[in-house]
Amino acid sequence: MNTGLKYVAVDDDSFNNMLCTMIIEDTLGDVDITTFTKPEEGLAFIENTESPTVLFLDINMPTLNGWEFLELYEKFSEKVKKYLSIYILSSSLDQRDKNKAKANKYVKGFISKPLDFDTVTLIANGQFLA
Amino acid sequence: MNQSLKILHIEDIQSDAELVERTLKRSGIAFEKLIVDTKAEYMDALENFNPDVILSDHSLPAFNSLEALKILKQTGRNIPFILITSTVSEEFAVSVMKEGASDYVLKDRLQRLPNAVLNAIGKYQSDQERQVYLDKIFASEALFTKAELLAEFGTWRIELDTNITNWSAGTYPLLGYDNGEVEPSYENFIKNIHPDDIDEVVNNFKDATDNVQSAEADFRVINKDGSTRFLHAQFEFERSEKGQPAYIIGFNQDVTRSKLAQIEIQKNIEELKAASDRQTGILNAMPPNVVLLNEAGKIVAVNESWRKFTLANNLGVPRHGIGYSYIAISEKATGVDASAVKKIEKGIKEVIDGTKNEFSIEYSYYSQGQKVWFQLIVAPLADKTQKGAVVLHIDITDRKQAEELMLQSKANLQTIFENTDIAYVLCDAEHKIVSFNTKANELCQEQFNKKIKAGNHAFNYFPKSKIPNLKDAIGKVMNNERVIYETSYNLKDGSVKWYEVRWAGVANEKDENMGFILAFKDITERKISEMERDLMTADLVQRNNDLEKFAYIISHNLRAPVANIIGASNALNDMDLTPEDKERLSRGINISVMKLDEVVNDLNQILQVKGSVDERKEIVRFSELVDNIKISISNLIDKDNIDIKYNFSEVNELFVLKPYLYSIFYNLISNSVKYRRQHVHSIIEIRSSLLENKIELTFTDNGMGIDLNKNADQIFGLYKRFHSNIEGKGMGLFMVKTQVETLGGKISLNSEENKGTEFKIEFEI
Repeated sequence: MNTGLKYVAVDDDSFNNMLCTMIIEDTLGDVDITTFTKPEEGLAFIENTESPTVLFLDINMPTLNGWEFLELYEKFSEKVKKYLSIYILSSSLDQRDKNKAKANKYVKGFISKPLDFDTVTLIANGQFLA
Repeated sequence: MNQSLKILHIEDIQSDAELVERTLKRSGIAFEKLIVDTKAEYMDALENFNPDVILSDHSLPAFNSLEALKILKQTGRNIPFILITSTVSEEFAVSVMKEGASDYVLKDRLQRLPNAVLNAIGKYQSDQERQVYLDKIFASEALFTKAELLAEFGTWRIELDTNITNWSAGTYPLLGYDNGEVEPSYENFIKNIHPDDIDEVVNNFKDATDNVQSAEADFRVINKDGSTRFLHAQFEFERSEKGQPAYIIGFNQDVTRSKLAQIEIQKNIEELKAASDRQTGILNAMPPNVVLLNEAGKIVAVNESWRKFTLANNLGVPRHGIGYSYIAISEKATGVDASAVKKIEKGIKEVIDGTKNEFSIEYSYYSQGQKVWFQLIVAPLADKTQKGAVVLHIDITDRKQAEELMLQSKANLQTIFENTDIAYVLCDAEHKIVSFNTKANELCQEQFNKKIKAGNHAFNYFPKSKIPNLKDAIGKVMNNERVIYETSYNLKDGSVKWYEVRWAGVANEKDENMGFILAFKDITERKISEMERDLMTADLVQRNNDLEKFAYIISHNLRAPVANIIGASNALNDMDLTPEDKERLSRGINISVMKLDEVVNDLNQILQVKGSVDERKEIVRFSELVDNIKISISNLIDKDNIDIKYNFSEVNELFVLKPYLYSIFYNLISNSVKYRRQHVHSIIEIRSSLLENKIELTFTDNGMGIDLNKNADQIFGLYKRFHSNIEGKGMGLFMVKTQVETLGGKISLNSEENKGTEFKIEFEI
């Protein structure tokens, strides 16, 4: 079930990053997963993306939250943006956050934590509907 | 002719003389004759010979006929003078005739002489007789004429059969002619009559003649000099013996003088009457009642207003009181105050006596149920012959009513002014107090413990700090702007009073500024309720914000560990896991559960702070607070050699909830310690300053600082963190802000990255 997609998770909560890695690997087997607890580092990492990549982005982070992250991302080259599929992965149940995610053109979908088997499968197949 | 004629013959030639004698003798005329040839003889003969006729040759050696004729005239004798000549021309003869000669006879025609003599004498004699007769008539006529002229009287007569008209000498001047200037006739009679009168005269005359009855007429005649003469004419019929009307006899009497006198008198009378009418008219037209009094105080005359007044008031005196005592009438007038009547009586007496020049009094009484006011003025009557007075009553009810209304409204205004809960102070252009109401005085005593006093400068009553505001307001008011603002004053008991202050300029009729009015309205109650409302509103807004924050906290901070726990437990159940993974998951669950507990504790703490305003306040010394905190974090301070300095010399204490202030100080100091810069000697400074009615606390460090451009609106947010490399939950500043605000203070900050941060906290006192 390896589609050749790469996976990146940006969340200040390292336990969440661990859970993400486990569930993706459990679902898709051995795939390329990179996680960051400092959003600044995650941002620097994806700037050089050269193949289709899925990004799980948390909202509530100190120093740089998800929205601020997306503002900076906006300045990236179109080539990079073409490779990236960004999903908000948040613990929030707040509808306002969901609406905000939907309104952002770089966000493909809003996922409520925790990430699960079904969601990972749909994303991997490009079938996830926000 | 039985007497012989005496003939004086002037002739120097004897033969001629004899020839004349023979001619006369032949004619049978009896005569005696004297011949002279000199002037002396001639004059002597005129005197002594007394001739009946004079015959004269024209030219004699000594003198001539013209001279003789002249001498004759000079003697006044009327003796026929006949010229006997051969030499004269016809023209000469005519000129001698003109000089008075009766006839002339040429020498070669002497046969005509006797007839000429007889004719001359006959004429002379009839002239003589006529003259005698005329002289008689003239004598009586002259007398009559004189009488007529003196009496300015004239008579005239018309003979009806022949229309022959005679005028007496006196008639001419009366009709505007010189004596004998015109033929007496009817036409001339009426010619000079004044055009306005002529018809009447003609009609009268016609009436009289038609009806044969006597008549009279008065008419004017225009004299030659253009002046007017007034005539009274009357005429009668004189009948013949048979009883038929034969003559009209008329008499004209000049009545100019009496007429003029009469006109003059009439004019004077009319003028007097007009003057009198004017005065009466003026008096009657005057609204005041006017009464003239004589010396005894009795009414002599009244005007129309007084008449109406007596009628309207039923004074019941005949002839409007004329002849009655004025005072008696006054006493009778119902409703007039007896004391007023006494004063009036005295006043009138004094004016009549001359002890007073004028007397005036205002009095009132009820007329037909209505209060009426009169002003009574007594002035002396300016008359040389008798003393008296003029009494004027002027109805001043309207003026009095207006005055009373004004007094009443003034009194009302005063009442309002004194009973209003607004304090009013009126100041002049020099800012000096002119007047004020009771409320203003109360306020002044309550506020400044001073009595307000007219004449004092208004600025003396205000604290110095308010004076710039006052000056500003006065400047605006002097420019006709209205100034309204709200201000507060602290009372000695610690309470605060709020006032609405209004300034208004006071201008005179010329629109010049004369000063200003200051009005203070106590709005403390309104203000307190307003502040309470604002507070409640702010509280509601705060609660709403808090609710949103809670929702956020629940979504993120509470939900995050829960989501982790769910994810981990799912993994534990569903996946084939290595023992290490299982171990990692269970450790993760453990941490998540701990985080969950922490968040719940934080929420609890926050809720506690918000709810605990009722705790006891105490005096807290800043220096003690800082010293205690230094001890509690001494390990940190010592390890990094952190310098914590303070200066509380201006103010060192605050009446406050101690745990809150401790928490505020602790959080700010520990933040500064936590976010210090590495390799920089950290200095934390805390100082207090006492500003006008507030205390300001300043916390300054030289630490990492925060990028305010990015984070200004989030600094004090819950779970906001700005440094990812340093441990923290984002609780500290949130708690600081919440606690400062709970204590009624404000917090603000200034910060620059890599330079430091300064927090300022203000508490009102």
